[in-house]
Formats: sequence, C-alpha cells, structure tokens
Amino acid sequence: MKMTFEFWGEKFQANMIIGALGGFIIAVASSLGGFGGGPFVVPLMTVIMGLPIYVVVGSSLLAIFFNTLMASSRFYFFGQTDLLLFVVMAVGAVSAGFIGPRIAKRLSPIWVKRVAVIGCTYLALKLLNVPFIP
Amino acid sequence: MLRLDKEVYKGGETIKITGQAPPGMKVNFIEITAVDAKVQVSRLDRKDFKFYLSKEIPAFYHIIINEDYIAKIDKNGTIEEKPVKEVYNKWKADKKWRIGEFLKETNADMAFVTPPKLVSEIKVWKTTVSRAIVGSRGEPLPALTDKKDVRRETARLIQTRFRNLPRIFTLKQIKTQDDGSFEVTFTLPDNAPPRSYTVLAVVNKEVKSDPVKFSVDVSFPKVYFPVAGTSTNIFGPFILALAICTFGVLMGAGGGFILNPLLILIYKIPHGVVAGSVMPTVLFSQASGIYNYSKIGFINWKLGLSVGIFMALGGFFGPLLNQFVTLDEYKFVFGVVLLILAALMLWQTTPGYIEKSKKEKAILEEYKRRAAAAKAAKEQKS
Repeated sequence: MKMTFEFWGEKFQANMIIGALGGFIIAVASSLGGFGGGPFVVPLMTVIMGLPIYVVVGSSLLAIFFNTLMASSRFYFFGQTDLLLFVVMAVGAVSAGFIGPRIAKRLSPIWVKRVAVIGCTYLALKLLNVPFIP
Repeated sequence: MLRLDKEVYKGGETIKITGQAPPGMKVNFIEITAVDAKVQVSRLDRKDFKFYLSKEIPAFYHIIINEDYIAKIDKNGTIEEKPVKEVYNKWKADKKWRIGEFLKETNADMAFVTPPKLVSEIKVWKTTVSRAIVGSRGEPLPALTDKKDVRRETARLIQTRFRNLPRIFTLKQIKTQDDGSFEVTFTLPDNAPPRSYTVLAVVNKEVKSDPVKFSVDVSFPKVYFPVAGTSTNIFGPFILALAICTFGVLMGAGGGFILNPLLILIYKIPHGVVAGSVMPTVLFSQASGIYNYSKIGFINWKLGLSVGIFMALGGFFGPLLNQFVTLDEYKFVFGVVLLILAALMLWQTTPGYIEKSKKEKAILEEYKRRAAAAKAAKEQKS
C-alpha cells in the first residue's frame, strides 16, 4: 500500500505497510521502556522507507509525539507517574536542551557518537546480565 | 515491653531497640514497618495469568531474624528443626526465592503481622489475550477479601516491590538475657521513607510485644518521591538528568535510553515508575520542535499523522506491557534496544554514512533557507 504526498513541490511515495508496522513496533518498545523513539523512527523513515532526511526531520517528530502523548497519559492513569520525579527530570531535560547545543559546537559529533556507542554497549551488557561486567 | 532510644530518626541512622520479654523467653523476630508511606505494587502471576494490584504496600518493610533461632517446621505431625541461618542462606542464594516458603521455613510468618492489617484491598484481574488487545488489564474479578488470601498476596507484593531477600529480611544477633531483657540495633537505609513506623518484637505465635511507634524525618535537600517510594537527595536525580540529557542532545538521541537504566540501577526505583515519570519529560521538547518546524512548513502532516496513528496505538499497549513484565524482562528488552541503538550509532560514524549525511545536511539547510525566505516573502506581502 503506497501513500503519495507532496513536500515542497516534490512528490514522494511511502510504503505505509512498513511505516505502520514499524511505527507500531517502535512505539510499543519505546513506551514499554519509557524512552523516546526518535533514533529508531528516523532510520525507519529514511533507510527502510527510503525518504530523504529533509522530509523526515519534522514529520517523524510529529509521529513520535503521538506515541509520547498516548503513553504518558496511559502511565499517568495507571498511577505510575511520580510527579516530583517527573518535575526534577523535566527541569534537567529542558536545561539540557539549552546547554547541549552550546557544547555541541565545540565537540566533534563523530567522537560523541563513538563514546555513546561504548556507553550504550556497556549499559546493554550490564542490563543483559552478561558475566564479568563490573 | 519495647523501647527505642529516640522518637525521630533520619535515614541512615541506627535505632537501638531494647525491651523486656517474659523471663526465660527469647525474642526471635523484630518487625519494622512504614505505616504512613505506602506505594502501589502490581504483579502478574504467570501460572494462572491473574494480575494483582494494591496501593497500600508499605514503602519500607523489614523483619530482623535472630540468627541463633532454630526454626520448627511441622511436617505432617513430625516436627523438623533447622537452624534459621541455613534456611536464610539457601533462599538468599536462590534468585527465584519465594517469600511464602521463606516465611514458613523460618517461622518468620509469626512476625508478618502489620502489612496484612494495612492492606485493605487487593484488586484482581484475570488477564486474557483478547482483553489485552483492547488495552485492558483483563477481566475484573472480585477483590481479595479472605484474610488468608490477602496475607499471602500481600507478602508476594512485598517481594515484588523489594525483590532481594536481604532488603526485607536480616539475620542478626538479638541478645536476650536470662531475665528476658533484650537488645538489638537496626540501621535504617538512607532512602527510608518519611513519617510513622511501627516496631514489633515477637517471641512466638502467642507472645508478642505491643507495637511501638517512631518516625523518620526527611528534610531538604533530601526529599521523598511518593510514587517511587524512596527518599533521596533531590540534586542526585537532577544532576543525573541534566548530564545524561545534555549528552543525549549531543549524540542526537533523547536521554531516556541511558537515564532509565541508571535510575533503576542506582536508585532502585521500580521500572514502571521510571518509565511513567521519564516518558512525559520529552513532551515539551517535542512540542516545541513540532511548533518550530511547522512555522517554516517543514512538517508533512499526511506522513506524520498516518505513521503517528500507529505509533499512538503502540503507545497504548506499551504501558500495559510494562505492568506485565518483570524487572528482569524489562532489563532484557532494554538491553536489546540499547544494543540496536549502539549498532545504529556505530553505523553513523562510518565514512560512507558521514559522506552521505554531509550531502543531505546541505540539502536540508538549502530547504530550510528556502522555507524561511518563502515565509518572509509572504509576510512582506501581507
């Protein structure tokens, strides 16, 4: 099932079966874990659905927002939201939004990514209870 | 008779408990319960797929067991004796320990007194696949009312909440003199919840002390997180969130990926609460991003909405699944997700990708410039 849409005068075709299924799976995993799905939705739309990045940046954000809004309200009604913890985390996250871009100019994004790869792998191995991980 | 050296304590302080048992008797158990600070705990029983939930589980619970005690278990009329140390170490080494059997085998069930009194309601659902598909916990069953059922399920929910055996039970020397006077100390954990607690000394099923009250004072910068059920220095989670989210901005992924496991590993906050409290924090940045992109016409509503509907559907199920999975399963899912993320980011540092993304970035900037110019032209006209 192909969906056709226009973006700045250009016509694009998107495979909506992949878009729907991929979006659904990413949303389930992300709302189960409580993280944003951005780093997965963008590759889904660019690499798998074959759309150019300039079409995806804004639209993927809109798609993820639906997931976050729905999951947040579900968690809230299940009584799993600690409002104080939420406020503390939100203040930290919003401040990071101001600090981050300022530091970003002075750092090589490639090296940041390399550090992140090591950090994420370490944390993953720890969560997976791999032996001999301190 | 039971006495404490103070009335008000702080987290991390040691309580000195003294008292007088009837002469010739020994105090074998001391029960300490937070009676004001309560948390919501839920659990899915995988044997019969029943989902249990109570909002009245004490945020702190502990039983001190006298390490010299010899437990007596009635096995079809013959009484078997076993040193409690042996039983304790056996279950402590077992990752799949069961609180019901532990209480029975150590005789600590005679000290398991206060929680069943605090819990007035345990809701039950029968989970079915068809109900889960429509996003429900299952078919509601009547709440537990039978005293035995409430007692058993309360113990299991306490195990679900605190998980590790040493977080609920401690072996300790309770020194009792011949005249029955006894003394024991207990150190409260740093994250002890505030307000009232009760302490109860137990000799056996018939001989128990009256409960004595004390309270824990939590004062700034330490605060109590009521849903998480833990007290901690407020700057700890704040600095963690600030540092991780700043790094998240730099690496181009939100902070939740790293923040959530750290909150679980460092602060031992239940995974349901972590997910439920961190998830909404990105709402603001996402909303402001959408607003900024929409101003310059950079959102294709057709694409965003049609994928978004399915993502909303996924966001409807995820939180339900979050309640159904155990901490270990949550960690497993999260670990796999992190490995995929690491692989994605590794791919993004390869020369081929960098080359491609440079070109794409140039096109993106070009489009943004055009969008801004078009908007300026429009404004000039009007």
